[in-house]
Amino acid sequence: MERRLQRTQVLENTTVARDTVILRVDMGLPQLVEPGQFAMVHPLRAGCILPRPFSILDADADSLTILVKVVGKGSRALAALRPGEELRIFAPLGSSFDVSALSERECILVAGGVGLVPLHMLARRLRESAAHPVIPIFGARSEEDLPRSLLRKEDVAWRLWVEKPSKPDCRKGLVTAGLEEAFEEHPDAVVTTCGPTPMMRAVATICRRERRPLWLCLEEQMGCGAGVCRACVVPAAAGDRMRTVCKDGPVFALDDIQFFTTAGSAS
Amino acid sequence: MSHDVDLTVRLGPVTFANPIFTASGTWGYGLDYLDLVDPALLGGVVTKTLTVAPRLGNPQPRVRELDHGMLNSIGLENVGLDAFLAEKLPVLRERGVTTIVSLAGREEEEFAIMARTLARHEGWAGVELNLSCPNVAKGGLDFGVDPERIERITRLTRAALPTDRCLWVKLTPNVSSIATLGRAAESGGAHAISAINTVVGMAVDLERREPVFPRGIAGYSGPAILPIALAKVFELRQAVSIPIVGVGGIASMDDVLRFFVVGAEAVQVGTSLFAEPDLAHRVVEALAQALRERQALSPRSLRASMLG
Repeated sequence: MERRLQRTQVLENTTVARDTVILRVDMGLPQLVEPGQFAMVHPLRAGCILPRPFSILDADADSLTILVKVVGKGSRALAALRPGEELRIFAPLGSSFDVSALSERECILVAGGVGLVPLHMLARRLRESAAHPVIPIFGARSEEDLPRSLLRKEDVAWRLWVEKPSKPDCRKGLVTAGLEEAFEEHPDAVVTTCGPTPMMRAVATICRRERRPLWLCLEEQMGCGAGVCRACVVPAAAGDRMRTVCKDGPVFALDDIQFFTTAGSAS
Repeated sequence: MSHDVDLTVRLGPVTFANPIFTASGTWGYGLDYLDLVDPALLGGVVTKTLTVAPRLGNPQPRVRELDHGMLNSIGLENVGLDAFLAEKLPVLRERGVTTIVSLAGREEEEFAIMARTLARHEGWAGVELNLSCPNVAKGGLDFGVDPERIERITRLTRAALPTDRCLWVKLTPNVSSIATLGRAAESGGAHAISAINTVVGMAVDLERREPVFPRGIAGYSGPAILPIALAKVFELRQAVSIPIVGVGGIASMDDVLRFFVVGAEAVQVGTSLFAEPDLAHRVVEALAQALRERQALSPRSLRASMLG
């Protein structure tokens, strides 16, 4: 994997949902970006010491696209960037979903919030290559949080779950209800998930119970994106060492990590 | 040009090609950015701190960004000295990287034990004693605030080092007199002092009414601590005669030059490497020109007149 670190500029900034924009930046990557891979993005603003990790939504020979939801000062600064304004990008980083292995099975995708991004790319790749059904499920707090233009794209029919639906294409409830429903329809399907940690824990609990293989794309605060600062660690399954979400991950098989305990332990 | 800029710096028995280093804990073991930059071009790499046995480190959260700096509570997670010697050092040596090995011990004797283990290997230029990591419940800070223990550990480690390797002692700013600590390191035989380690700080979660980090305190670093580091180097410069390696908050070439003005012989770039892993390299590339523009033939000639 060839990483690039460069100062570059925004080409396009499009609002797609409440407090959520898609940024297309001027950066060509030499190889295909795989679903799950991310970019460390620095807004080059005072008050931002560290870059922030963003899953890559799309990349081609000339540009790279990320989805930015405003959650703090860094994402606010990024979401406010206009075309021509500068930022620093380090990409592509991290591990990815194994598209060729997943395309051999029926695959359920469970996304929440900005966790949509890596699974959106995965859904597109699986649609291109899979002979088997792909079942993408997306949950958001409300309909205002749905990036409709993305969810309509590429002929992938996302099953939408929100707390209080008003439109007929949304179901009422949590994505986990969607997962249970999909399990009944697809008894042999495997699962991939990305979203807030409590959601992924709920998904992992159901997958354990049903003995379904699960791959997770983890979210964690990061400092460097290169395995150096050791901020984003998760204990390995055996408990004998730490894995970094940024370099060993962000995509892990559930059985490879201790996902239900958050702690390391000082020795 | 007959009188061009001289970037070499001599710290004890070792002469370094230039005075720009990466700070411990901010650039791994020097091998994580080989696709972007050549670590052999730096004055040297100070490794992540190593302990005798591997450590898993502290629970999450480990890092919190603030407006002008960051707090960390990593807890000395590291692969352990043996794994470093087996897996990292041979690569550093083969690539011609000038390596300073950062060491932390739980007991006073462990520093010398690790130095003796290192002495059986080639491919490193010196050690830096991490006596002042505030993120570990046992040891660490205790050593780093006590001048007698600093002197004793420094002496024991110096005795265990081959004579052609240098010994740096990294000092904490979290004391009333860093000059006292500096004199202790000098008496113990340190070739250089690294100043400063992180400043003790705390982040507070107002919603939960708890400190953010389970241990409460954490280590503050980044641009916010530059003025503190400059003041401590300035104070040390007047207290000791051994060289000082300035570290704390460097984010630009100008920050590097400021350390030279207050008396540092060399510097370490730290927290800013997380955002710009090539920052130390860009400083190395531009340093000679920056000095020329100030009619300075060496970093040393930038020193403030009041420091003599």
